Amino acid sequence: MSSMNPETLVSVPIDLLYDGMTIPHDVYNAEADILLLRRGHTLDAEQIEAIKQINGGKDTIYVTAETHKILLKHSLSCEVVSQAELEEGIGYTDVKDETLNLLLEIEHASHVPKEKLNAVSESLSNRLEVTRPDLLVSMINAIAPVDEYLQRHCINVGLLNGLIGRWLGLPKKDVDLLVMIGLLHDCGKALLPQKVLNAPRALTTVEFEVVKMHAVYTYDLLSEFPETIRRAARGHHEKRNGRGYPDHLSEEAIPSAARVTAISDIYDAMVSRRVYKGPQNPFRILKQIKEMRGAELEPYFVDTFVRNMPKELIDKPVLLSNGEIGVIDSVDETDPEHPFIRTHNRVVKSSKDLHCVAMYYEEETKTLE
Amino acid sequence: MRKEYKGCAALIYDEEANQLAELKILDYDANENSVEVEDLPSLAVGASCEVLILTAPTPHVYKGRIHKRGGLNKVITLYRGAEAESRHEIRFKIDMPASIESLVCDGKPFPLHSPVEIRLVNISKDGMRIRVKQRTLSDGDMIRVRLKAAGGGKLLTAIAIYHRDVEEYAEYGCSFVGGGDE
Repeated sequence: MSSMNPETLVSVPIDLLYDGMTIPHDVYNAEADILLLRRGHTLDAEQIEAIKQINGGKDTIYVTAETHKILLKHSLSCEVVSQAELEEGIGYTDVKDETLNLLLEIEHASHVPKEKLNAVSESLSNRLEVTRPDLLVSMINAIAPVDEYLQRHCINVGLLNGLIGRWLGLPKKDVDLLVMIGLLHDCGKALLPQKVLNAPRALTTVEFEVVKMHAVYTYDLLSEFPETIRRAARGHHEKRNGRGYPDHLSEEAIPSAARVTAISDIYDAMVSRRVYKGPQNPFRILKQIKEMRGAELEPYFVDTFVRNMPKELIDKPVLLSNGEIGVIDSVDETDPEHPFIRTHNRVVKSSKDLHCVAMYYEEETKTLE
Repeated sequence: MRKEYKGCAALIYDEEANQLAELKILDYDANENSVEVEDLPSLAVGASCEVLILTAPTPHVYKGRIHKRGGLNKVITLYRGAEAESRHEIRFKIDMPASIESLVCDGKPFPLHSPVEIRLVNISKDGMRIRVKQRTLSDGDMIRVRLKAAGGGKLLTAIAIYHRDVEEYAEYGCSFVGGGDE
């Protein structure tokens, strides 16, 4: 066994080692119990072959997360980041804490503190201004703790609303308004019973009817806000065919901001992990959103979303159905579910046989005791 | 506490538990403990019957006898005492529409956006059995149910305990608890 201190290690294919690579941290064998290479060592082709022999014919080795990133970056020409790095990098953690406080205050006082909400909303708009959209999208797509769902969902819908607003070419004041509406669109959920909100399974019919009331609670909670904002938040579950809730509005009767928020809300809900369901990959979600175009969602907004969102996913790593890690090379707008994927030595269109399982983040780790 | 049954919905059964009528109580005589009801042909003068009156938080069950006393309506005298008290064990078969209107969590009712339509299968003084589509409820839910009797509605609160599946439906035995009102 290694005498090293406990370290977080990642299993990677041995083929990722390359000639000329300087090892930043120690490398271990497939059982993670024998040290193969010491840090600081520069590899050549002969040594790589020797390591394969020592590894007893196994295809994998254990490396640190940092070494893993270097290997992927070299192999796939992409950057692998962790959710924590993303969140730290764009100041998401602060906004998340502020949003949690906001929701707790709403829950306890049954009142939306206007100044506090404005401050969080402004903070979110600022993040949108200064952060690369692809990083925002990566962060939204990252798998987050289930118990942080509501505050993350509020923030993510605010950010997605802002991105859609920018893709639509709206003036900044309208983009900021969309961010605020996204942030508060579900604040009525703070008034729902915890038993229902945190049900460890799909909701029953009765529970779902209780949850539907959140749109009305949100409207009521926002009594001090302009009617435009209140109506937009209330209407984010309305559908163009009149089969939404709470008011069964149809087509143009649904406020524009509610129609934008509906897309953001659906995307983030689908991409998130819940107790009762795993996350879906963004490409499948884009396809599903396209299927809702017209009957449920505003066609122009859907087209804008489906055209622009894939651009923010290009060059991002994905976990493939065969266990490999690839990179999104390009996306066909007419078939967003099947992006072109770059692997070590080829570019292929994803298909039923080889498809994206999830966006890949640095999180699959193993601890060596 | 003085009872007041005037305006309440009532279900009348014969002694074999066949339903005779579903009606509204037109008047209540507390001195005689009798109720005045519509002169329906199914209510045979002189016959004994079971009377279930929909009151909150729990229904009242009596043994009764049907009379005609010269007025336009009929009168059912309600029996008191040990005999009547024993009646509350009886479950009356019924097929009545009802709707779940709210879910009670931590003692607080949370209204449903749209009431969920259900059927009442039987009812007694202490509880009822309801039939709902599967996945409508989870075991142990406390619900407020509006019974839609022909003689008027009544909101009752009950805890639903899963009983069995019947094809695409599930049946729950519900115990009445306080908190119903109208």
